[in-house]
Amino acid sequence: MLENILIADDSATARMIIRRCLEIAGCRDTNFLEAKDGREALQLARQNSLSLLVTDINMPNMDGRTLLKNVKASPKLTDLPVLVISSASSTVVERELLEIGAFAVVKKPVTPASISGFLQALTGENPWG
Amino acid sequence: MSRPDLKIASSLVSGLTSTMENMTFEEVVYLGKMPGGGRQFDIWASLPITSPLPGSISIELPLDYAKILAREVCVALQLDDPEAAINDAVGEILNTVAGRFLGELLGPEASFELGLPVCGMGKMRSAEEPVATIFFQVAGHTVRTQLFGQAFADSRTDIEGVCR
Repeated sequence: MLENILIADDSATARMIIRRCLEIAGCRDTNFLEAKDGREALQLARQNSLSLLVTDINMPNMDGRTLLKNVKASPKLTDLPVLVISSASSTVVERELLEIGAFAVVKKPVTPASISGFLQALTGENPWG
Repeated sequence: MSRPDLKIASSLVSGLTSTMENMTFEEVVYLGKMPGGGRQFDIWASLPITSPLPGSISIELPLDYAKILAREVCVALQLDDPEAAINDAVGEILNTVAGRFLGELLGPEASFELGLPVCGMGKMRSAEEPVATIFFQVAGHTVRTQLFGQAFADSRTDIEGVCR
């Protein structure tokens, strides 16, 4: 059970789509927090006990790559799983993000099906079962 | 149409089709480069492509269809600013189209970087001629996508390599 999920994306549309996909994929009783950029996300991550951080790469103020590096460099946050969702990902970028410490990388447009496998790997629960 | 032009066009078609079908659950009908009749586009969004080929990609659509796209966003987010919701929805769609387009055009191993979308009402103005213009029909509305950037035109030899 993922209690608190933080979604970081500069687009309100993207945040809504990601949240709906997570809900459909099994996160029905989850408390969702939202951030418009990496800086806001990092602040919320420090202030809250999160189960998962879902972030876009391309954001103003602080991008998702820098956010991920900051999270992994923080002793308090280093174990927080980070799911990166981006339109600008390639296999090279994906490898780089995984090396930095991302739990998984998903290409936009995100769908419940594309996200459910990662949730299952994270929680050990089958979202469809 | 040469093979590189075909590759750009087919990648645009693929990017828009996969995006719209996944984000709006609407079927996309490819209308080609120059459909007949006057077209009214009221909303536009433009997104810089910063690397590896500098340029930009744009999408233009009629207000009626933009309202349909934004309605769900407004309801879900309880927004009282429909114009902001329209701009946000159209910008996010273009962002996704751009990612899919470049992934298809350059291949899965190629890295690319995008800027942040800029949206506006009325006629979109550009100082340069588009490298490619594609018209689509989605939910009965005509949508135009254009690709700008001399680098795309100049790199047709490289793109030709991708086509093989």
